[in-house]
Amino acid sequence: MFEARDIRVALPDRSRKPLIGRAPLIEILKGISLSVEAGAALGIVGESGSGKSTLARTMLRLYRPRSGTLTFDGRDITDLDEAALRPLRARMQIIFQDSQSALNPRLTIGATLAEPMLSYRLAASRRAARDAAAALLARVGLSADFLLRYPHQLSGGQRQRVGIARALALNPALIVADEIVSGLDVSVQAQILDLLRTLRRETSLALVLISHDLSVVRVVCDTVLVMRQGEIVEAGPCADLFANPRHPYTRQLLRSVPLPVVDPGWLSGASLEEETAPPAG
Amino acid sequence: MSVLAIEGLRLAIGETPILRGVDLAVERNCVHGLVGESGAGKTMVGKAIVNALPEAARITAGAIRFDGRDLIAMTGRARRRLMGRAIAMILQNPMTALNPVIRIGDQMADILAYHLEVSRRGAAARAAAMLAAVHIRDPERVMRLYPHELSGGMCQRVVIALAFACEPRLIVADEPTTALDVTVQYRVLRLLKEMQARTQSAVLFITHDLGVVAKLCDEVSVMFAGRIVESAAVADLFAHPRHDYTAALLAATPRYDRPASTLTPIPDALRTRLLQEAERV
Repeated sequence: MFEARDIRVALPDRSRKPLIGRAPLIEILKGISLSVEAGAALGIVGESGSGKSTLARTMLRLYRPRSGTLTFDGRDITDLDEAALRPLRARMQIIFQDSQSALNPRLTIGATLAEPMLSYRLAASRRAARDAAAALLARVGLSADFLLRYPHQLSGGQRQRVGIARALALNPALIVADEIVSGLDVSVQAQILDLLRTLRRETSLALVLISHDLSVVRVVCDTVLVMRQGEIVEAGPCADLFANPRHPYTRQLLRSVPLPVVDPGWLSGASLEEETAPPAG
Repeated sequence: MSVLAIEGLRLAIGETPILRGVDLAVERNCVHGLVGESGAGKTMVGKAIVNALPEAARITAGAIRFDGRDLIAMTGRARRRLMGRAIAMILQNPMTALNPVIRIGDQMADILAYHLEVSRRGAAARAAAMLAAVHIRDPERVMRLYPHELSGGMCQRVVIALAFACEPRLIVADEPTTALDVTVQYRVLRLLKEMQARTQSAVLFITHDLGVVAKLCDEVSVMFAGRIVESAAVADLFAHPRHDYTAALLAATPRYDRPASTLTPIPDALRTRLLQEAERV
């Protein structure tokens, strides 16, 4: 359904931008290959700066890779221009971590959900779009009362449900969810993860879940990729990889996750490595 | 005598009750976890201790005893004298605790000169020593940087250094690692434990994450709808959660070492029942 082969992406390094002229490029993704099938869920884990959000955006061709190929539904989308991408955009959706800034504060939830359906002519009339929006809200566990509300009237968990509903509005084949539960507390997080599990059962959607939390990935995904500094260090089925991590970095990541198990030695295990200050200048 | 003993604390914002009779005791040389979901009132407990309540909030009953003296009955001046010296606070976002336009070294020296009544030069030397104590390499250089030039983990180290500067009897830490990556969180938790053990302080650690409680805390209180529903030694709580809500919160915590199907969101029926119970008291 979706495949990335040896993707390399470089972005301008704003911290090194000279006063006049362009910022130098810095390579963020250094040869990433992955594939997701319809109905499958892939987790991507890594720390901040590992390139996982850049990978999410590149998969949807929000960035253009400098080399490698991206294939979506059998079509090479690596170098398509915006006009050629537009019909495909409906079928690949992204959900962002910050649900507040992802939703237009001046649109009601109803308008937010109806707009893409009207724009892509998936709804014949405003009325049909409104009904479809109500049905979407029901799918994500919100009542039709929310149609008339504005984003600021919603809690973080409710806004993230709206984000999921909007991603579902155009019947996508692929959804990339970038850290969508990391700002939420455990009880709300559990509800959203449960919702993602349910959606997986009900649809043949391909789901890519990006998270720094390995436990979150385990709940939703079948397979997992571990990224560090723009490279994949280890990949495999969740059950295997979490039980028998082979790469030392994966082991270190797993060890850092505080499982709800009492373990007085946990905090005194490894040596105290010092945190390094950023380079001068 | 407990360092901190909260007795029957009730607090309301306008007509809305936020705390409905909180009892909590934190002992010397002990990390006490206060766990609950957003809206449970745990942050309000922290704010009541450090006298940082929102203007509309008022305490309607109860006592907050610090070393036996009721903080609520004290004058503002007497309470301020305790703050930073005998009682310190660590917040979730270290950036809001630091002044963005003053270099790290200068703001540390200001605070130290005020609290420790030493000269500016003495304070600067002390600041450098404290940064070294929180395992920051090259403290002299870090002191010349502004907060935005540091990573989140580094900033939190600076804040922890300041919080422990006067070897306080009590530290209130409100979600200090929630915004951090797991590996950075691990290092910050380890540092917090190390500093706590060195100073034998009492720490009230506010979090929504039972995993962090299991690894860091000695005692724990679980909060829901403005009440403590269960208090126990950490080993007992995780071995035998007595309250339904504690068990439900544990079941809603994702963990990478268990099959995905074991995650269960907190049942709405339980939440409704507990809310009704809370409203009756």
